Amino acid sequence: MRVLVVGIGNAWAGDDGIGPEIVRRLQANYATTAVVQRGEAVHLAFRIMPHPDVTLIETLADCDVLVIVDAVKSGAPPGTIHCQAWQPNVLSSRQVERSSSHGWGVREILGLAHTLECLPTKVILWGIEAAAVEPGAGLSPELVAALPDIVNRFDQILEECNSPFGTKPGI
Amino acid sequence: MTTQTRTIKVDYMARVEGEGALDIVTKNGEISHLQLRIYEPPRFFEAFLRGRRFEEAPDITARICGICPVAYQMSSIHAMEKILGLTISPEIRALRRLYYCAEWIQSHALHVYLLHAPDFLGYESGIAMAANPELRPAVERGLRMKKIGNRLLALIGGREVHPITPCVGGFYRAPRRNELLALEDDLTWGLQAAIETVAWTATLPFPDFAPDYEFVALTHPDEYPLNEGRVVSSKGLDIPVEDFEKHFAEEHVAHSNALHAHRIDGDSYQVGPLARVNLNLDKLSPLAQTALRQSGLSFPNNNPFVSIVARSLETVHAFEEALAIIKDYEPPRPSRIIAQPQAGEGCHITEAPRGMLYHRYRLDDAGLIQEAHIWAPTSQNLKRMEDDLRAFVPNVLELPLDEATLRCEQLVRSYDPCISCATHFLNLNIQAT
Repeated sequence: MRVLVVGIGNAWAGDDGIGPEIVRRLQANYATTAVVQRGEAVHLAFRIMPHPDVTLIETLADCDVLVIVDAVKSGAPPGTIHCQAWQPNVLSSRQVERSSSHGWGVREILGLAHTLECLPTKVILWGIEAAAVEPGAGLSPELVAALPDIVNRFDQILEECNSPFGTKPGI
Repeated sequence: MTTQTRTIKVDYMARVEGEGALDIVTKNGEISHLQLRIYEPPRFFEAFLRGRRFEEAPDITARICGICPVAYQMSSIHAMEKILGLTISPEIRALRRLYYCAEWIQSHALHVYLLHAPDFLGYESGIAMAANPELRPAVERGLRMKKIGNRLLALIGGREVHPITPCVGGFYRAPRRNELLALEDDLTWGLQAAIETVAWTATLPFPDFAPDYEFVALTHPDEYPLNEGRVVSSKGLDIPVEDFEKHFAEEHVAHSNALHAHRIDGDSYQVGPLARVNLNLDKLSPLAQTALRQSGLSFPNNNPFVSIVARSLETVHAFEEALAIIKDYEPPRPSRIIAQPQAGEGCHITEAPRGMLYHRYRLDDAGLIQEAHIWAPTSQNLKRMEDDLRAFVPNVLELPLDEATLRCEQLVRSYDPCISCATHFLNLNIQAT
């Protein structure tokens, strides 16, 4: 099984950088990109995107599971993990794509990939509630404190990826 | 008297701060107020360039735009080389053109297929368009063309977004010949796809609209303009880049944080693919010229909506020129000339996908930047976009509001506005009294 983990966010916009930071830590934790889950080899690949971009679609052919880790603002306490399987319409519309060549969001990219039938069978959204998304480097103290638990969650996500019963909507 | 207020909102883009809006107020069918408001916060790039070393300008300015970093790198590099008296080798020059072709391919393919074509075909987005089985191959074609442009860009620039290898004097690393040759098959496919793109876009329904523009673009005696040339216009202007600020001015208008550029007499002008094609028809590559003849459209063309065809023609050119450069490519040795700092002032214009990008710098003896001026193509087009809308809105006032709104947006999108430098949210408010 090939798992692609994509961390999306801008390291110069406070907690927006949580996605890339998690990917960096996972890369350090998994010195080898091959791990074994339930007796099956899992090949991990990582990618950092400062902002979502349609080029993501180009890499999807090489994975069976796509995990997108990104900052989230929902009003929950900072550091809250929102983890769920992607389904059409799971992300709300911002009509991002209409005028801006820069404005492709995760929703639009996954929507296009879905329409073009190039999404892997499992897509997991791993959102981390942000405290402050403002210009400037560095994560908020709340997210720094929560990081170990957040990163540890990846084992559970991997296990779900490899579940023969499919990925549950709320992991 | 009853007052009817109609409002349409088109929101997009949450990750980048900033906002712009188009306000149109009509009274008795006449426009009483029209503003393309840009309230994106100023980004101060010109200010934080001050005090930095000349070598840093391409790396810093590349950050202005995620879609056209090559343009920012190239305009800054050429300007610095003029100040420092550097002459680059023909091999480096060819590699720069190849690099620029990559940016045009990826930028144009994205705009043509995913951003502009849906307007003409009645879809609200590229995603909705892709859901039509008849149009899905077109979207896939566009994405594959973009991917090829991205790969070429990453190969030369080191990475796709904010590339890192170009520098004053050349490239920190030049690709090996076999690395580029590996892309030959894809580029050959892309050339054919681009020719099909011209044929496809030429059949789109273009609104009947043709203002009396002053088109402005670079022109060069031997080649289609990318990295250098004189500034010419459809109204007879023909000046060296060094005289640019004698003929063009920038103005701060209250409703826009992006400056409005205009001719020195105050008139608006248009830069971009339509201007370039109109002013450089005979410099398009042979297959682009053939595609143009077969398109059934006539050029020079004053219809801004036809810019989608101009963009497609330039994509043919970019693929054809990329293949020609790769065919003869040998890595430049050395890949860069080391420059020594010296005081001076210099400017340069290159052709970004969206139009001319002007940079001017002043350096001190130590090579530190004392002054920087950057004119982005979108700020050069903003005034023209407002003039266009003023002329265009009466044509659509009879349409239902949502249709009228869509037509106005479509017109704005004809300019492929580089929104990271300008608009991030476009809320369209039409008020009719």
